[in-house]
Amino acid sequence: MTPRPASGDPLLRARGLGFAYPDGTIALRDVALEIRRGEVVGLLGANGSGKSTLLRLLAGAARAHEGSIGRPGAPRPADRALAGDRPVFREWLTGLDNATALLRLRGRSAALARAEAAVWLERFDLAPVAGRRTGTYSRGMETRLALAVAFAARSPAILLDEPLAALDPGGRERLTVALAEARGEGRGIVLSTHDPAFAATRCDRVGFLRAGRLVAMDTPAVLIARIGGRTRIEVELEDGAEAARGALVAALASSPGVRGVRSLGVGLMLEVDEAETALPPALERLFRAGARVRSVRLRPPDLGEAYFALTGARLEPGAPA
Amino acid sequence: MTVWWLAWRSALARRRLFVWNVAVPALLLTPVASSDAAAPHRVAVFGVFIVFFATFGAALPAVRDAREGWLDTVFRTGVRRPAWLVQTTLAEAAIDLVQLAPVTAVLALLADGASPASVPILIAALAVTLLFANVLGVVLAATVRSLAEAALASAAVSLLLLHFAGFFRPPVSGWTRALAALDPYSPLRVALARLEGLPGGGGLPPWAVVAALGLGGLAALTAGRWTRRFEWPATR
Repeated sequence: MTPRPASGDPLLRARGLGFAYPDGTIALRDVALEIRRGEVVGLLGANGSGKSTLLRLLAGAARAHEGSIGRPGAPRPADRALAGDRPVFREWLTGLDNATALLRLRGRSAALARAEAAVWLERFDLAPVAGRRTGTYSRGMETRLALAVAFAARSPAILLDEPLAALDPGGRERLTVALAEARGEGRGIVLSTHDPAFAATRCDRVGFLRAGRLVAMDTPAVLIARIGGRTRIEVELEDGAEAARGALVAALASSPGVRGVRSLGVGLMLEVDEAETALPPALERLFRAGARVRSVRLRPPDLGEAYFALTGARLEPGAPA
Repeated sequence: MTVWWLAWRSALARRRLFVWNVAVPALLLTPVASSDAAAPHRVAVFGVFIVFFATFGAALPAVRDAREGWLDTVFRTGVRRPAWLVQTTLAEAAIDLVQLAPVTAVLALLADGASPASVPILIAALAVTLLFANVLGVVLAATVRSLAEAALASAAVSLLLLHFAGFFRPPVSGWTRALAALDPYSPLRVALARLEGLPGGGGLPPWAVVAALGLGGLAALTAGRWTRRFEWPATR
């Protein structure tokens, strides 16, 4: 019996990876990362930052122009399953036939492919439409079919390109279950997403991509800690207090423990080191200054803030992805 | 054999298209076969239609599948491109043969010089033609950038090969005869001419058949390399 590979063994290893499109657009440069068995790795990055390209290179669906990719745990193409962000199926075949065909192409026997396809379509809640042509599927159904095929492939490495993009809450939950199961079986999963909350809770490690470079890669907790760990306090004010916003900002700027204050919507946002010690004196100053507070909300630093802080990404038009 | 299975499954799943592919050849060629047109003209029309049918039928879907990403999806499963090419062309040629079977029967029934011996030769020549035309279609699809270019290239190259095969003008001089002997569509011309009782239907020298098959094999091998161009991102 073949010994089961241990979690933590390297599956995919990229070094100095670079890729440019035929028109010369550089999609990736000098990317280094390692994917191990039994972990889920998330990739966060703006549109065009190189997430899809990196996943394709890792999957072996394209050739890197620079650097190298070692695949110690997934040497054959069939060892890597990629669910793209725009899944393509034979629209005149049923979902079950498409899944069966793609599993048969991976070397399954006809009977086994059909049985496994049926199981995974059921797991992604596609059983009721398994007999329908995929040309009639919604975008979310196509995504679920692509995920079903990717997980059914039972490849050591599973690469998912923006799997959440069209999934409803039920689909997310099914994906979460499948991810946990695949991780438990020792598979390595890489997924790209625009949802920091999902990445923070479902991924063991997260990488931030910006303009084709992997600018940070670590556990969500470490990434959040790297930005200083400041908590934000959002104070919503009654309408009448808006006119005096400038005075309130000045009053709070010197409050103990407050590291920064700025106007935000119909209120103020404070950055503090520790909310427990900074909040009482800050509120006292607000009340003394005549502010009418509607609500106070604590927001500990999250992965989204870490992403913006560590990538330097801006929301202005024309900023690099 | 999964690619083969998938091609047949797809063909049969699109029943309406399948029926059209049977009906259109019959509707177009039956009037020609039953007309008073000169036999060489009928042979030319049959040849052009059969070659276009297979070449366009291979090139246009290949361009579409490459652009939509289906070929990328297939190759990512680990299927080797040469294996995909061989299975696809074999399957599509077989499907073409089935779809052309009714009209082939009509041609055989209505032909002036049809004899029992000429029908198996026609079927064999048809099979070789469809196989080569399907390979050619995929190769052309790999070299162009759009459906329109694929259609133009298919028409131009097919007509050139049909011309060299002698469909439009019998090869008379030494070099045109040599070209015709090497042309993969010559067996079809000879078979159709024989069916129509034309003098040019005497046959090809045995070496010519071997050469045509060799060229077809070479084209298939070359096509395996061309299909790298179907990979992502498009490098065309």
